[in-house]
Amino acid sequence: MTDVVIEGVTKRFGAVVALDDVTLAVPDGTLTAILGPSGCGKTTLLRVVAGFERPDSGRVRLGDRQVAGSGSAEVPPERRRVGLVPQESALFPHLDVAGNVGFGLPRKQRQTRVRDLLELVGLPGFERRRPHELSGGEQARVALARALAPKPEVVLLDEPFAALDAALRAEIRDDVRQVLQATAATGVLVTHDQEEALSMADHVAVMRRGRVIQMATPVDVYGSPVDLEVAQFVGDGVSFAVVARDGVASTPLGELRLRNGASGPGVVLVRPEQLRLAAAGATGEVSNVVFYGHDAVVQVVMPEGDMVSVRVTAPVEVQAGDVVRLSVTGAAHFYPKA
Amino acid sequence: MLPSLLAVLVALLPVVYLFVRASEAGPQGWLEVLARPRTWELVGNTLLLAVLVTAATLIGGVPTAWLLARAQLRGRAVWAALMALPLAVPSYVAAFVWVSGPLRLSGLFGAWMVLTLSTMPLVILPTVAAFRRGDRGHEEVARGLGLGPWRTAWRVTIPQALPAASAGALLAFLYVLFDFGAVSILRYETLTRAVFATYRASFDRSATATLALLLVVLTVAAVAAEQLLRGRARKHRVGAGAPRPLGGVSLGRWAPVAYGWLSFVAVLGVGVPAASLTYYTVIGRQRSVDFPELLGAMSATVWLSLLGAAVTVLLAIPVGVLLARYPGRRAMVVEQLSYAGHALPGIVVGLGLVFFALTVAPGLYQTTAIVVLAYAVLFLPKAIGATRTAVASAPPVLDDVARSLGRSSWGAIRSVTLPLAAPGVLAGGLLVLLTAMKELPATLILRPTGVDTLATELWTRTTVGAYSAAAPFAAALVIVAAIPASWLARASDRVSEEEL
Repeated sequence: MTDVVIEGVTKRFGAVVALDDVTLAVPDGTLTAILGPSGCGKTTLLRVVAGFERPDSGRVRLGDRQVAGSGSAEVPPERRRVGLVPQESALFPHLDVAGNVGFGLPRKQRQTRVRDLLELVGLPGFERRRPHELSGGEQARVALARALAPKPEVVLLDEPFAALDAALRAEIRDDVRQVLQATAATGVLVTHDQEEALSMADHVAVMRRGRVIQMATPVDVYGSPVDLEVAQFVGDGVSFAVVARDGVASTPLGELRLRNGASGPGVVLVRPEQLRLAAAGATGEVSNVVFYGHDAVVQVVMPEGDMVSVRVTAPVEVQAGDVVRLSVTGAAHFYPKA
Repeated sequence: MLPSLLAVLVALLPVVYLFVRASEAGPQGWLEVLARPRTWELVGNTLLLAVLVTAATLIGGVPTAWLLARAQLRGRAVWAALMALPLAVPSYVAAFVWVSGPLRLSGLFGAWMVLTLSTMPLVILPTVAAFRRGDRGHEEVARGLGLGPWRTAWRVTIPQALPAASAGALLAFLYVLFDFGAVSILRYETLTRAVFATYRASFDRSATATLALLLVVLTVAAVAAEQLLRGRARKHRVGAGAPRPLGGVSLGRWAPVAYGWLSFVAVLGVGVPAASLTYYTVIGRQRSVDFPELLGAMSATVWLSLLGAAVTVLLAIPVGVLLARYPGRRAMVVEQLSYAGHALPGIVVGLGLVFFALTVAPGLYQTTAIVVLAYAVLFLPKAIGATRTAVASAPPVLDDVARSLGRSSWGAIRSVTLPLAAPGVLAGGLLVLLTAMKELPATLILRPTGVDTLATELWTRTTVGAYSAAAPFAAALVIVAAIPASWLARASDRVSEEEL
């Protein structure tokens, strides 16, 4: 039973506040993604959990052990039983794959455990390869096996797939997720890629300027973002400044139903997948069609000059210059003016 | 941070004591030295030689570099090696070869020729690299605009290589300013030689210090000019461009001229020294060789340079770690200061340390320790460059991973950082060892009484005209220095280019 609990952790570097009173709980055996733009403090948070940075205040607990913060001695990284999968894998260049995976193991267990782990990450027989002979994806798999070798209770992944190309990334995400589930380790994944966070994690913690803004399931983070900034960070959308009345707002797309029956000035956000090219509804002119194969994004200019993106599935039957009508399905997000 | 300050302290020792000693004479003393016509004659001689050599290296070096980089050339690798090889021959050995040969070269012409041959690689090597890096797209554009191949070379290709060539030319300029061995063997009066002569001849040590300071001023001016030129060159560069394949330009009827020129340079720079040293070792063996003395000089050379390399590397490691792991303004200041040895002629470092010993630690005067200290000052930059590259090859994230896998902080250093960085540090040590073996002026001033290295034996015998007695030492020096050089060649991929 090893959950990760971060309580009121603050960390400053000179005048910069990297972590500002961060509180976060990662339940045992689940994977939580920490999502945020670069410089938001997510990597610092990871380093505090791993023991490479000491928090200025607050506490970090791994299971029933407090590892950092007031009331107990700081536990050094090597005694935290926390596995680390760093950016770009950072394999030891002077060791072969077996040497890397077996690095944290007692000599006796090495051979069999290394073989089992390479099997687990889908690289059987790779023991004698050198890191420079591996592809980026293979390096990431070896780095994962290396982190899992000493059976850590917690595994930290620091943007492990950022250097991989898109197709490879999707495949390896899936595999990593399965491997983590198989080992029942508690995982924390740091990423700036919303797609990665939403597709891999059980929970997503959105960070901004050193604070955790929202902690929820991927569905809720995407479906009910706490504010406009989070909404725009986790997905595309078009927004309009409106004055809402009794849960309805008038926009260039017509009268929109709002999720939270609000009134007053604010901003409405509509996701591309909420829009349909339809027979009835607001009219606009197609300015551009961006074709992706499986689907396409049609950009429509509304009479008022607003640019709206509509996601449509293939086949795409409109082209630039066509006049189309747009309908909105479901309720729109509304964020009252602060 | 703190241990790296030790390196700075050592590096600054000679300049500080030189300044202290010179200032004892006060402004009148300086003015008196500056008022001597002899002083200005020396400055004139030095600058004349430096300018002539620099011009020759540019005029000879740039076309050579172009041939090596761009022309269709048979045996390119061999030519490239032959053009670089003179760097391995100390200038005083080359001077010995030419002064003792049938031509008995000496004076301005001799010094000019010997130093030009020794320093031409300093221009050729960076210029070849620049020709390779240069964007060939520009040349294609020029041809497309109607320029013929020769005009394209003149208006597009050469200007691309010019920043690298002028950086190399300034290195050659400094080399001449610093040179002591070749000019004194060839009997051409420059500042370095005068500093040594006044140090030996008179008890007026502050006049010597003033002359040495004058040399430092010239050096600083040259270094400043170099940085100014480099700064401007950086602005001219647009994009790095991928390295291009070698060759391509057909020489046509110019081929005989090209091969003739390359052969000429190779014969003068490599062939003559090699033939002459072989002659002395193989054919000249009937003449009696003083073997005990030769062995003594050999072991002194090896012993002193081994100690020097060890101390230099130990001093350099904290600086290298600081630069690789904690870059920033403080690290930059430490780096700049510990590079003082790069900007000082060996004779000046030697003299500064003499003053240091006489003022502060008389027990150190003419001991092994002070020779080792001089090597540390002179060669710290080489060792720092190497250790920095070595430590940078073991990024801190690897330490983090090792610790998260259960290693203590010392355990992480032992199992990750050291195995990764050690080969590079070792290569730096070898480079220092190799250079220290060939060091002449500081060793000459500081060596303990009765101790002679191969370099000082060669110098002493050659300056009194005992050429055949000097020959075995020259040959031994080349052979002994070849050992670390060959190890270094094997490890050379670990050492970055800048250590040349």
